[in-house]
Amino acid sequence: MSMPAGDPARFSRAEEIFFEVAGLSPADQAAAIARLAGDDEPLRLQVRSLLDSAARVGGFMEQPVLGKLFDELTSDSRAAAEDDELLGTTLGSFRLEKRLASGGMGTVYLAARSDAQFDQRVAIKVVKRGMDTDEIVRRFREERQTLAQLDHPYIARLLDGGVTPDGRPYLVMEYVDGLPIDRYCDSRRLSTAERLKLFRRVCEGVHAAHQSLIIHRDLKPSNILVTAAGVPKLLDFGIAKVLSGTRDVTHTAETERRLTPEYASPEQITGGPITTASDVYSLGVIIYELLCGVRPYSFAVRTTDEVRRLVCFQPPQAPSEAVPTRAARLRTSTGPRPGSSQPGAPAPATGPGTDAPAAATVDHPRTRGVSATRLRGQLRGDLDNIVLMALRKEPQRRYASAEQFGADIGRYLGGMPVQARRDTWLYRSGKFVRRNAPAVIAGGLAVLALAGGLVLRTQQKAEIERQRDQVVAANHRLDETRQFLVAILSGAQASGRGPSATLSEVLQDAARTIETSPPADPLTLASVKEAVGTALMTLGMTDKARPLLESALAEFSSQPPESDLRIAIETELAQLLYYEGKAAEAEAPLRQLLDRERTLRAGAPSARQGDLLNALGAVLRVTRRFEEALTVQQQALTVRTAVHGAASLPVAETLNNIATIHFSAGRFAEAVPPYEQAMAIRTARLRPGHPMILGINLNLGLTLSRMGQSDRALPMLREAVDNWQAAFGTEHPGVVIARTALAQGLRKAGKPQDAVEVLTPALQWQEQHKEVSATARLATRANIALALADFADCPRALAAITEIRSDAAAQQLPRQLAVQLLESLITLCDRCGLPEDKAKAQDALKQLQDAARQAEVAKPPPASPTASPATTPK
Amino acid sequence: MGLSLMTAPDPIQPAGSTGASPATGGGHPLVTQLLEQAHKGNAQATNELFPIVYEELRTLAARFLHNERDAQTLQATALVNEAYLRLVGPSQAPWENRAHFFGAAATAIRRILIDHARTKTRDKRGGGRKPVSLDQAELISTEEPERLIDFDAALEKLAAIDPQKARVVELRFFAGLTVEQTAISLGVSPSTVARDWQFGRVWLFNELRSSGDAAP
Repeated sequence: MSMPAGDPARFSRAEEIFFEVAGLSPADQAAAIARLAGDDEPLRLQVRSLLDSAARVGGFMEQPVLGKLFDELTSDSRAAAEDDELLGTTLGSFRLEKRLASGGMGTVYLAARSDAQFDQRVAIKVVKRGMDTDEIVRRFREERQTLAQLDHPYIARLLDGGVTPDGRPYLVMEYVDGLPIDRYCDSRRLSTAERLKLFRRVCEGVHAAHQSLIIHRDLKPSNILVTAAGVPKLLDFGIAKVLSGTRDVTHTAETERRLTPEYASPEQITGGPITTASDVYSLGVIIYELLCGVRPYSFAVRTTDEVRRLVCFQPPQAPSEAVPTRAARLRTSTGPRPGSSQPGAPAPATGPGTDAPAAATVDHPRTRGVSATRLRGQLRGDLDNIVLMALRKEPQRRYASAEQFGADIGRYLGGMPVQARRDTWLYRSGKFVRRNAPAVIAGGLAVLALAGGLVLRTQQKAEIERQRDQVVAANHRLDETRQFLVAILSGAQASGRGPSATLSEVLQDAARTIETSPPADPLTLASVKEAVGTALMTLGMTDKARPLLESALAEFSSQPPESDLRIAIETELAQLLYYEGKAAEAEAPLRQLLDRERTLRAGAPSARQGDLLNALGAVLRVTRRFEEALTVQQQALTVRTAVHGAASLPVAETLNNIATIHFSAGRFAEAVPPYEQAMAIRTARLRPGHPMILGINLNLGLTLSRMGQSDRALPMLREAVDNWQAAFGTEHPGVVIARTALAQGLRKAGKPQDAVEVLTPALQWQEQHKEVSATARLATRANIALALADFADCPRALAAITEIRSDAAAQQLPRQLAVQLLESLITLCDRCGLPEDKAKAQDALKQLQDAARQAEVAKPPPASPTASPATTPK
Repeated sequence: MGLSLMTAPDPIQPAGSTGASPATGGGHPLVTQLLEQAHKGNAQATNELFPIVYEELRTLAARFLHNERDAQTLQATALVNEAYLRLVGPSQAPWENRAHFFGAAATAIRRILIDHARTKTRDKRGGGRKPVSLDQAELISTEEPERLIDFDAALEKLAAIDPQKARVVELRFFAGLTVEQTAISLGVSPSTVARDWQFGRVWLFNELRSSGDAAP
């Protein structure tokens, strides 16, 4: 069946067809092969044979061969020859039938009861000759004692133990006929949800051990076998130590050498105290790998320095970002896979160091039946947060237990809000903290390591001090960022604001601090500016945000135009135009950025593409090009659904914006369903009272009030005002928006006096804050004037409207608001008997309406400054 | 940010003191010279490079065999890296320059492995050997020297039809290079390497399956 050798032309034709049809369903494949290969029967056979092989290729060649060589040369040629003498002999009542695996500590055999009372198969682990130092023997005795205490369905049981005739200890364990969890998941092509469910059970098992005060210390896929029935079994508590009593720090160095660095926690690498949190960390690495197919760290060179540098100081990429970029075109994984592959018969792993993990990075997502893009979408958000929480460098900031880890995954699976959060102290500007996390961690770790050093041997203490010095030297830049962060925070204290300082105060202080004592490193400076600028922008302080963002762009100008950093900062600047009320000006840069982003990603949907489309849609809506806006937002919806998943927050945002387009076009009834969908997603994903829920609350309330459903609308709007104030203090543009919306609802419900009362504090706040745009201020005054006109306060309303119309900013008012003002003015003139003024107003109204018709306007849209937080930048 | 942590290359600590290598840190002047010439396209330099790299890797591998603990954590990449540091020194040479070294190393590793497998099969079976058929998801491993020898033959066959694919397999599978590193080493795009690797792997698997089935 194989191709005649030396026929490159036919070979490459087979290759072409192979790639052409590899992604198709079996039925389509047959047709495509027939079409492409024509009546060339040998070619057809060759392609079919290749496709069949592709489906079976499995783990073939996944691991570079050399690691195996040394494994084998050591365990095989030296120990195995001796151990094989044991084959066929009996230990206790068991006859050793087959060698399953060899590892750093011993050899594992498959054994059966020799008395044949009943068919019982067990795994027997025998300490390797030459390794049986007193310490190993002691370790084995420990293992025997600790394992014997454990009786749990997900933990392989210890059945017996003894000493071989030549004095080597052995353990008799439950034989688990299963695959290592990573291979199990891949061979069954388990979905993300199925992987999570299985992993929850692993957490249960680990938690049970923890409750017996046993820490595993070396959790890794090869230590977690899954039976054909899908039951996970934890193996090999080889270095487990009973928490009470036998913890012996002097053995950490030994332990460190034995453990598998890929799954070891920072405290294990540095020789810190090992707790249950160390197992939580290893579980985090395992689920990371199960979800996205790669591990958080791969070590190019497995020196102690390299391992420490990565595990202790490098923040892991979010799993969604780590999904390999090239989607596997074959139905199988195709890259060298790190970890625990064992050939042939599944075997209980024999202890740390059995498998020699590969250093090579994985180039393709592992088989799990979804595209890389889809997978990334599934992981982004909650799952990223959950996994990263388990992987935090500081033990105390991880999940408090394996049980809680599992429970949070359960919440995710049940569609409930998860506990894991990104570090969001500064809410939007949490980015700032995140970005500088390594600095904070580096500082924290040095302290932690020192604390641990008090009980360590001198040698280790010296090692830790050396480490600390290294950290100090290497992290100068990060340290600077950290100092800056501290300066901002303590600055809030120093300026007398005290602990109750609001976010906006702190950020304004930050902006000043950047001016007065800027960080010396240009890139640090740029990212600090970008972070603070973006945060200020989101809070509506656009005049403070602009200089920061612009100078951040200047700092980034050394980056190539297609770089992520550049596109990111330019996106912020385009959005700033929107926030500044210059939406029309934002269109061109947003479209240009979209082009660049599409080029950068070769057309594949990306998170930023979704963001840009969403922002463009918002801009088009504000410029009243509703149909275009709708088209763009539908694209945004498609992209974001693909990237983030259907029930994700970005999708909720776009749904909100689609609804707002309908609202702005006066199609209130059409606006309600997407608002409600967005509300459902946000309620499920966010804590109650979250600003994004309030935003929807506001929009839906406003829509309902437009539809005349005051009884539903008014309580919703009141709640929005209250919650918004509670969340942000009175000083937030959102509060003004909420009050405006409530006032409109009140007017609609025939309570214009209440509307004036609600708006007056908003106007006062706007007038005290120079950074609020004149247009926004004027809009509030216009809304007050309209309410005044409603309850026939003729002179006051007339004066107010006249004053507004003569204001320089009047030209900038939203057209609908201007129309309403004129209509109101005409009514007032009628009422007060001012025919000349009425005629003038009618002329003006006609002009405005003509202009409006040209711009294709539907029914009257909201009279608010802006009814929705349409673009919530990520 | 945080990238500043990534810049400094980590020195590799030689695990023992065998004295088998030339001056530590200084590198092997001839190797440096050969690499430069190879980089300029001198094929003869590449040929001369191979035996030096091969000897060094063999010495290193042998040394690791006497130190069990190190052997267990040793990997192809680490071994090649160390050989590189010993022969070339910790220079900040661009990867392009090193690529030729790694190319030679991949072939050397392959030869070491095959030699070892041949020795083993001779020892075990007195020279005779049976072809083995490959089943799903099995690894080419030195635990099965026959399989490794078959694999080597299949790879030779692939090299006759499509030399580049065979080279990609050699670099990735024997020297443990990533797709990106392989791409640099061969001067082709990563996507080409990924495609070659995908197809090469399937083709080899297919070849071994069929030859196993049809073995005399």
